[in-house]
Amino acid sequence: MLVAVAATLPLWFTAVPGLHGWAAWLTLGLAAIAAASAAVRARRRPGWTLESMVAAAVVFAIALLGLSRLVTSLQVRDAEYHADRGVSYRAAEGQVQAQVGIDPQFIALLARAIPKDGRFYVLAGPKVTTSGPHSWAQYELMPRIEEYWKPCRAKWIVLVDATGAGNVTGVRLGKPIVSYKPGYALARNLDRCTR
Amino acid sequence: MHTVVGLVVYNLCFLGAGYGVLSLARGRGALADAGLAFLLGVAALLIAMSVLATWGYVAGAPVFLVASAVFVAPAVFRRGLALPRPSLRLPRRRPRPTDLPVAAFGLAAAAYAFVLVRLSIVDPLTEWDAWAMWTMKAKALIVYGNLGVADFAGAAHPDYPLLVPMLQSFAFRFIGQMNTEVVHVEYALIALAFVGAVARIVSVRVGVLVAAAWSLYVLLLPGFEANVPDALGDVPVAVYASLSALTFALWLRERRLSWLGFYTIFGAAALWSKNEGSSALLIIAVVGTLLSVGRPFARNVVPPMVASAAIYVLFLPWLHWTSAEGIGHDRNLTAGLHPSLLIHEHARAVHSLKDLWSQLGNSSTWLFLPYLTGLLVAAALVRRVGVRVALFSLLVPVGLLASYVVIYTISTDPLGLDWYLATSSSRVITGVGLIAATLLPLQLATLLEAPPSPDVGAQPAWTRWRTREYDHVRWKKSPIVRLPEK
Repeated sequence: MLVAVAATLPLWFTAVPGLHGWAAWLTLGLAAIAAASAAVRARRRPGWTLESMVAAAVVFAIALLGLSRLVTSLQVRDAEYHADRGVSYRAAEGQVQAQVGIDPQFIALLARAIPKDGRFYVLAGPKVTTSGPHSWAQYELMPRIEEYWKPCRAKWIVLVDATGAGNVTGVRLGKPIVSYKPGYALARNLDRCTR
Repeated sequence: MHTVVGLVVYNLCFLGAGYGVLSLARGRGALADAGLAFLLGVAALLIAMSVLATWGYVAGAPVFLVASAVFVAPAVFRRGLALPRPSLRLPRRRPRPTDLPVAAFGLAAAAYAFVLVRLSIVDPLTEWDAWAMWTMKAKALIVYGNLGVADFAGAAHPDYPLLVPMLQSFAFRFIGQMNTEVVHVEYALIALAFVGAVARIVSVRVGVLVAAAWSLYVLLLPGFEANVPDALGDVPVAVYASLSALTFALWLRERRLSWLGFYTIFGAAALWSKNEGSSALLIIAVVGTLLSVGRPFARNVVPPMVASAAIYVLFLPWLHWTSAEGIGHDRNLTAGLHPSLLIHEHARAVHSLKDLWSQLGNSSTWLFLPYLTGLLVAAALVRRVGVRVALFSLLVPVGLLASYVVIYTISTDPLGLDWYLATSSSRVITGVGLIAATLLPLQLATLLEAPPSPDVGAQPAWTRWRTREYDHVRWKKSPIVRLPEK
């Protein structure tokens, strides 16, 4: 019955979001059949009840909405797949790092210079407004441990876009061990926490 | 090749362990129970591994395999002793013409599942919290071999529990490399298993066609599907909180203890997934237990209380470890309980509510879900059919939404409330939406399976909410058909 009702609707009603023509009619038909199935299941006794009508309406809605989303979702996921495939996970990580101001080559240099049991502190310049460099440095430099709170606890200071920085409170920096580019360097921490 | 084999073995461990847990509840599982078994396996194995970690031992792949064997054992040895369970199997019969629409919905869901899994194999780890928090912890578990405070206290949200980092870390161990692309497969499988599990449970109650239509609807809910490939904790916690809500609602409807067993496992998994699981489980437990009230008290109220307490006990190791290490929450939760909060901070509360509702009420994000839920609740209340399930389906999502409003209101993020909302509300709301979506087919079942009733005047009064769906089950179980109580 619902199929028949749907078929008698004016043509403009077939403008299911994202679908047109036969695809829209097919979607509508399947949704109507699902709704009819629910309605039939609810009819334990003759006649229509509020329960069966509401149930059928809800099933019609979810079937229609699900089907109408299908093509768009498939296209989006397919496009994402084609955009991402062929890129290794290391290369992909490098791309993400670059977006937050970390140069993967700089991190690789740090990994060679800081011993595996070393503790380091990331000193970012004022242009760095996120914790991205800190997080990626910790991620890449494990098992080295990043000091987040007190720079004096760290033996190594990593400078990220911190040109001219050298006067961190309570910390004196030694000569740069690694100088990658202006503002990007690794230096020893000459001070230790007094308490 | 090693990656593929490792990934297959890893997920087969979940599946096998899940069938073992399933066999304890209802005997031999069927192939169609794979989704349910997978999620049970993820929950059981990863909670076990997480508890070991809080005791100072971060397990490797061999211990994981041994634990899988232990969980599989009941399925092998205890089939005959399994408790009787309601049949969830489809009847064997010849194909009918009406199966064609089922096949159409099934093919559509399968097509989407294919593109989702295919994408998850090559999806890069771009989401901020994924590499700054979840995957960071997963790598730390492998590299340090213990819950070193260095990382879990230093990184963002050190109080977030371990299930998601464990999920990723064991994936890394099995595939032999810290491949941050392939690890997305686990999230895709969790999402697909969730839809399969719920569809399986509700299909015998609302019919296969309606279950298939619901599956496609939920899989393609933009508010849900957009979060699946992000490799965060929001989808696992939403999935497990939704399954907890569903199994508790099934208890309300059918009063079978096995549903509370599932509720306990899924609830514990929600708690171990992310902090949002705590608020979800608290609301599910309180609302559900209140709606369970009936005579006899010991049979109707005590079991859900015991099940909820068991969830808390399963989470105690993490609470103990964070307490021992001095790791606190990043916001003062007790402030949210102060009675004057909404008066003093009403502007922030209203702003938070508007933002969250702009997500949930957005028809292009959650596809009219709140309105469909409201319609079903209204019909149930008007006709007094399945009042307990209807109220549960309304109050749990509303309560969870309210709890998020409180959490945002008391938040002290240094970048401000707007930034906090903009970067998290679309993910956090996934739990509310998915719970509502999961309860939708059960509401339909309650409406569709309502027994014939006389005129409205003969309905039970509001003070006697001994619901008909409960009585209906009791009648069916009883060899003697009894009349409703006067």
